[in-house]
Amino acid sequence: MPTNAAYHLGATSKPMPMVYVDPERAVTDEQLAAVAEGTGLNGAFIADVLSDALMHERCGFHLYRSVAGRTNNPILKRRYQELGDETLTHVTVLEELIAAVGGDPGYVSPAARGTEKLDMGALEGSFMLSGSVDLMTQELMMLNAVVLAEAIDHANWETMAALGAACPDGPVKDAMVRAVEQVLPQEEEHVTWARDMRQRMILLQAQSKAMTRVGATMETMVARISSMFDDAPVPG
Amino acid sequence: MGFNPLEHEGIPVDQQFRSWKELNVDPLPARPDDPYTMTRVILMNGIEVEAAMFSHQFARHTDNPEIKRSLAVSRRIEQQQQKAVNWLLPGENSVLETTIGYEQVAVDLTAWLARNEPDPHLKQALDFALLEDFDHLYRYSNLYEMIQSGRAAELTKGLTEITPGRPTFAHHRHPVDELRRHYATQTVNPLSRLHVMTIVAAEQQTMNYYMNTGPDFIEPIARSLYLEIAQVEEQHVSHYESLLDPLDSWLANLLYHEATEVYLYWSMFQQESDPRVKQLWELHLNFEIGHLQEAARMLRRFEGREPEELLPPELPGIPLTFETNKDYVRSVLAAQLDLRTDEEDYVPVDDLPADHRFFAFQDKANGDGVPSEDVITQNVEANGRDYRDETEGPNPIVDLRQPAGQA
Repeated sequence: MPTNAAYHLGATSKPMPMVYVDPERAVTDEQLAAVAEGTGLNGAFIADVLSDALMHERCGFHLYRSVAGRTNNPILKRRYQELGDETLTHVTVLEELIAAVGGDPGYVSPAARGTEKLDMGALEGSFMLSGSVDLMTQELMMLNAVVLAEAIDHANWETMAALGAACPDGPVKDAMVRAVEQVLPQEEEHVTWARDMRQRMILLQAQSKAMTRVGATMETMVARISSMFDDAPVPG
Repeated sequence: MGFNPLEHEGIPVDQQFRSWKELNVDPLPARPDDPYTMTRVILMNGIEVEAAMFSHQFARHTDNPEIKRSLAVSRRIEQQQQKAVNWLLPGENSVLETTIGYEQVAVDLTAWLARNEPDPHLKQALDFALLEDFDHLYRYSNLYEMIQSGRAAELTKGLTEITPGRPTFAHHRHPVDELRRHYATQTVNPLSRLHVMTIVAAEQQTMNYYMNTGPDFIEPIARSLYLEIAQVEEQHVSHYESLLDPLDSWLANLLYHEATEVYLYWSMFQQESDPRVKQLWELHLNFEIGHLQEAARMLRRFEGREPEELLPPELPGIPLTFETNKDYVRSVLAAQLDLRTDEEDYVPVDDLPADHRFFAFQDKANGDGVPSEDVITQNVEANGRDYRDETEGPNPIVDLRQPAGQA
């Protein structure tokens, strides 16, 4: 399943003051106004918001694939993979929701472009300066990116719930409520896990002089990170 | 049919280093049978320079050891490729003769890209600067006749006309009018992305060449003409690079750079008439596929993205081609001579208000004389007429035709 918006995948977008979109791929607010028709909501705005949320889920999937491949801890790796799989289902849920309310999952809103930049910044922050930090801190940087991503994700779905509540009874409300019921509980679990795990990782390091000892060999550090959560239950 | 370079292994990066002897290739003859062999060399040199400089910039924004080491290896190879390509240029040619080659690249590359560009906004950007590079060819050709008694048509072989375009004095715009709207990376046609990345690299190399070789001349008219046109080339780099979407990440950009190089070496290979040079294009094509595979690996590892989702299923099946574009250039000249820019928009000069910054900038830059005009005046004084190679008849713009009695 594609997790990226591109020309060959049928992407469309909206021209903005400094963004040109080829006419054959350009959409207007007038065209987007048909989204969530009959709800009294601003259709073009809803289209933009849903596209934004979809972009964030797609970026979240990329983030999990990246950190799952880079972490040295098997417990984190497994959990990142699980969260990535669930995030991929959220991508599907959102694509279906967008189609159900009269939108196009291939549409990339200006807000979605901004979110891609934000999310890419968080992801790049987890590896572009990896030479500046030790292996343990690299783990924390990856987890920081996950916490940020999950915080926004959770807020997105809470907002989706509020939007659903604001809709009059009808197919759009039904579609939104159904999607929220499917995803929001998992998002609550994700953000809680991410925050708890981050706290736990920091506490473990704070309580262990050995963890950040300067001069520890790479092998020693990897071994320590690998067994980091062996002695206690892991949240989530 | 195009091909999907991701389905090929190419030559692994660790097998690409070459000896000094291998890199120090025998140069082309000063007047090759096919002048487009020379233009292909000039273009691919610019592409390799961009590859190296992009890699340097990327390396300055990361201390990830794995990425830095990978960049260092591929960058060294790109630099070796640049040497093997650029050292094909014949040393017996003067800077000015090579410059005429650069302008033939600028004209026939830009025109071909514009003819094949599917996006009207990007086509307009190409058409706009085409007329300016076309005029540069005319100005340098007059300088060539004046200081070296040379005939530029012997270099271009009559494949590219030499006649005034949008006059160079009119190119000097305020910098804020040099910036265009950019494409959106998600919706841009892959062919358009290749076109923009190619023209940015080509214009950047032209800028670099003039800004560095201009002071090598003794003749004041040559020094001043290079200075003036070097500034315009900076404008063209600003113009074209502003078309690129700043949303793309460093690693995505690396992938796009490598894909562009693959497409271009494949294109050069398809059309090359010199068997020895053709072999070089093929070798470098296989090198670039190796670089692309390495960029794809890093994209997967660090960004968790599949390169197949960023790149099209196959590269364009039509090779970028150096060929004559006389009719096209004439048609653009006839239609767009008087076009100027106002922030991101193109406007006829007559539509600019009298107090527009364009005119203020013109007054400042051109206030003490204009070398690109002086070179024509001086050549007319020396030879009784300006130098032209109008194979298809007089200039389509009446005001730009050679005055009666000069021809």
